[in-house]
Amino acid sequence: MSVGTANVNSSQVDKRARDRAFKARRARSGASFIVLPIIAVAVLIGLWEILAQFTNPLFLSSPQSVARAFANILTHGPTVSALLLSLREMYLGLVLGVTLGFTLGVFIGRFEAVSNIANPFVNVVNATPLIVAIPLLVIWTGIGMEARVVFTMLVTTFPMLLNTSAGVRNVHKGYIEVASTLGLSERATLWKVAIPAAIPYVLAGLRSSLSLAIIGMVVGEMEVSNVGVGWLLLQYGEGLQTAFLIALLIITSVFGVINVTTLKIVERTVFKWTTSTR
Amino acid sequence: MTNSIDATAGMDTLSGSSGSSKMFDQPVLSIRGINKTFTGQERDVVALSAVSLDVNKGEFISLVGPSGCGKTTLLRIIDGLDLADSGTIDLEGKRLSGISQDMAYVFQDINLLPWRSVRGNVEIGLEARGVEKSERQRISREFLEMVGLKDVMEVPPYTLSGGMQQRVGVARALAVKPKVLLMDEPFGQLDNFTREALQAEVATLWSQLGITIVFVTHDVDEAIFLSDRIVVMHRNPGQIVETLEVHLSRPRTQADFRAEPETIELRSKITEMLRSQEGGL
Repeated sequence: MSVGTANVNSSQVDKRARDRAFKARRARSGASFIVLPIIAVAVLIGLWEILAQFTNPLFLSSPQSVARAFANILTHGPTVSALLLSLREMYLGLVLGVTLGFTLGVFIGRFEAVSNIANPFVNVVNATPLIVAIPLLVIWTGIGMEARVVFTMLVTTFPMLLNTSAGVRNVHKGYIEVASTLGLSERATLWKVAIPAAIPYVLAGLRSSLSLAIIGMVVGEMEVSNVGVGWLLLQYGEGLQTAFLIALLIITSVFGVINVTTLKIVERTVFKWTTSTR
Repeated sequence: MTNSIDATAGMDTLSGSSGSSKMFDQPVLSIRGINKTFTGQERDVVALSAVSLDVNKGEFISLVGPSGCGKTTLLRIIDGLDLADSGTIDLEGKRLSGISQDMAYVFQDINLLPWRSVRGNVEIGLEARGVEKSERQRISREFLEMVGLKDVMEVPPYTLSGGMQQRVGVARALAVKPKVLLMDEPFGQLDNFTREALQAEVATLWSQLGITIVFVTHDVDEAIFLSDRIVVMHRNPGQIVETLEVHLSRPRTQADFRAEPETIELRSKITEMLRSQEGGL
């Protein structure tokens, strides 16, 4: 069909122009994206070093001593295994919490009856400061890894659950009508339309769960049993080891950055459509 | 009417010769006494009042009218997306309830699924019908080729222009081989040139496939260009006021049809009908 072909050609021209514009924009923003933050961090470290010269090291350790503490933590067996234990707990709790939150969220979002039954519980538990439940968790599951993982799981379940159910419930009506008119079954509509359409919400829930997972991990370790990052924090705190505390702060913030960056990469590759304008 | 066997009007028959010479023995779609009232907080709106219509096999029929005349509601009720308060719809003599698998719907706002490729969007109805993968691919390729999009089969739909997106919408509907294609102001959001191009393509597809099309529009010229019959509707309450036949020979061309005496006459007739409606408000 000649009309169609003409249209494709013009779109190829469009695409080339778009590519050029895109590359130019990326080159411009690339400079400010990479160079400016590096300069900012360098300036900050410089100021920090100067400030530390005039401050009691108990309050503010110098960048050098923090760097030494950093190296110390990452090269000693006990501290490294404490970090690894924390990571294992965090990801275990996260995977369980996110899976549970997603599954419950899909059911609650899709079926009104389930939503009516679950809503009072979800609202109450969501409003409860879960840290108060830790002693109970300890009574129920002991002071081992289980309690800490369960705590992280609980903390990460709710953002996922609430976002997923909102996403599944608020699927664009037009998508559901496409599924209906083309004869998709209830089940196929859920899997092929409602759940994919909810992915932007699910990713937002995952983002919240990722940052809460680190908090859940550390709180669990401090409150349940002294292991991992929580244990290190208590140790360094009691010993007033400021450099080590700052180093640990940086390490845990790197955990967070890795989580968020991984999610961003997944968003931009696997779920590219969620970030593209429609 | 009782003789239901009609060998000449099958799906495969090429019916692109001339609009007036077709043989219509039995309506493929028989719509009887449709009523629909939308209950609002302020007031009730009678969207459709006692609407009856027969659509013949292989026919291209347009519903035109001002916004609020219930033409889209009628189309949605035919498809089963909305339920009528009363009235019946028969497809090839069979009473319909719910959504019919023998009809497909082209939406004004297209609604392509952004997480699927163009091809994936065309295949979703085939997946619902349990068509196996290789066959799905063959069919999606066939229909995307038909609408001139075989080069963009694997791209995500949001990278396409509006006109190309609606071509995908048409291919998606055609891929399930519907007996009746329902099109709801499909080109309403497109610019003039794209709209005319797509009108011509739909006319060609219709004559090639020998399919029945019910087309909703408020564009009088679009209705004249495409249709065998034009159903003019009024609002408050939504009713059919007149059904006009279009005898212009096919294939019609965008360049020529507007100046035809019949087009001019139809256009002024329909416009007058719609205008008298405006005055009555």
